[in-house]
Amino acid sequence: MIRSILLCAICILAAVLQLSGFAWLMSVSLFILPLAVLVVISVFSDDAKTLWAALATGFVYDMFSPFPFGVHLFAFVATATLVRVMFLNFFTNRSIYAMILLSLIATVSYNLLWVSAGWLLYIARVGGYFSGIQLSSAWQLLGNCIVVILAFYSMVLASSVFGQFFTRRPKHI
Amino acid sequence: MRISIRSLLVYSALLAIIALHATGILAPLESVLASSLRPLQTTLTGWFGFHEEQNDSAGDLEEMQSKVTQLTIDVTLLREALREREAALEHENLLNSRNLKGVLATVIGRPPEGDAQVLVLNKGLSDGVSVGLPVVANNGVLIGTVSEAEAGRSIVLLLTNTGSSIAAEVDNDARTPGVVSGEHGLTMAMTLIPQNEAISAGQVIVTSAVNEAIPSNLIIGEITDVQFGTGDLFQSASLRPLIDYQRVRSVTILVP
Repeated sequence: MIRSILLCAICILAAVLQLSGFAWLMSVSLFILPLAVLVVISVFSDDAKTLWAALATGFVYDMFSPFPFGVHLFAFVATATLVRVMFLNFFTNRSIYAMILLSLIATVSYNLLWVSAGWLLYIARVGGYFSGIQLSSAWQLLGNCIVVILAFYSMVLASSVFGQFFTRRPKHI
Repeated sequence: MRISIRSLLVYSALLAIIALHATGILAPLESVLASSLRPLQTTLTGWFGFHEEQNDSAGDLEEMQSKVTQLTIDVTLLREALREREAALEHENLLNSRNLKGVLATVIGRPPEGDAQVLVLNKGLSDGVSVGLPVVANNGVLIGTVSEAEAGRSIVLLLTNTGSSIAAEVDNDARTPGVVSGEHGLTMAMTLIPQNEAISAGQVIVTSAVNEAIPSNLIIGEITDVQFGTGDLFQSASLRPLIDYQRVRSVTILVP
């Protein structure tokens, strides 16, 4: 429970950092930090925690989005589900290659999902606003990969440095 | 992935949240969350907005930061305070000179969609803001209208957004009427200008008295190019915004 809340808080912070921080540096987001965080969580955590984290991220995004409420909630939760399905069925271990591939899948899936959902609601006249993907959004494929790689090696480094403090060795060794 | 009860709970929560938001039951929770996040958003906007300006001015910021990091932080805070003070003064002057009522708001974010052409403000329903109200930069230039208002926050649809459309007129003797709408998220176009009216590049476009919620004579932009065909009923003109909307940090929402 505490771990779920902590992961949700991390995702909310990542979403706010993206919306109110990085958004000022880039006219089109070159990476989506919350999505990269979700990929890392989906690889290192279980189904429920990943989905709760996706729900928290989508909720914050929808609060500050011009699209009808629910578009980003749906996109993030569906992407998290897809990433978990892919990870459990098509990847054998938690390698850097798995994370890179999953981040590519997540980026494509997330962008397609929010654009399709936004468009469907627009033509159904539920939402009065629609925005398409810009070609420069393709940089997110690279940007998200870089964020995921940095996160992966940070975790590897952290576990090698701090791991000894948290790992109990058997006495006979 | 086997669908467990805990995963089903999340999917149910997703549907419940959307339904509760639609009925308005979730508004207090959203308001609390928005209020708690606002200080962080304001701080981040200040930091990142400051760095953006520094990068654009091609200053040697990195070198300066390495030498006097603390001084840079102080300068940032002072500039932020000064900017807020200047914005408040401009806001007061604007309202007094035009005899208008308004709410001073700070831009706290931009949605992740790069071409969205919207801004998120820190004032909402609880401050008297409602959908359709005009939003002006503190020098009096109209930048858009409120498209969504919640407790404690609102979203501004910029004039360059393709979904934006308002009645306007050319600031000439004939007060030539037309409709200004956004084009490709970059610029604006004025359409439905009668064919017999003489307009030219360089003329200023202002709001017309036709708009109910928008005061007349608010500056919108400047004509850069006029297009008309011999068989056409109307002329059209390309407009240039007089300010860079993406650099606006504080605005005034004009209330009735």
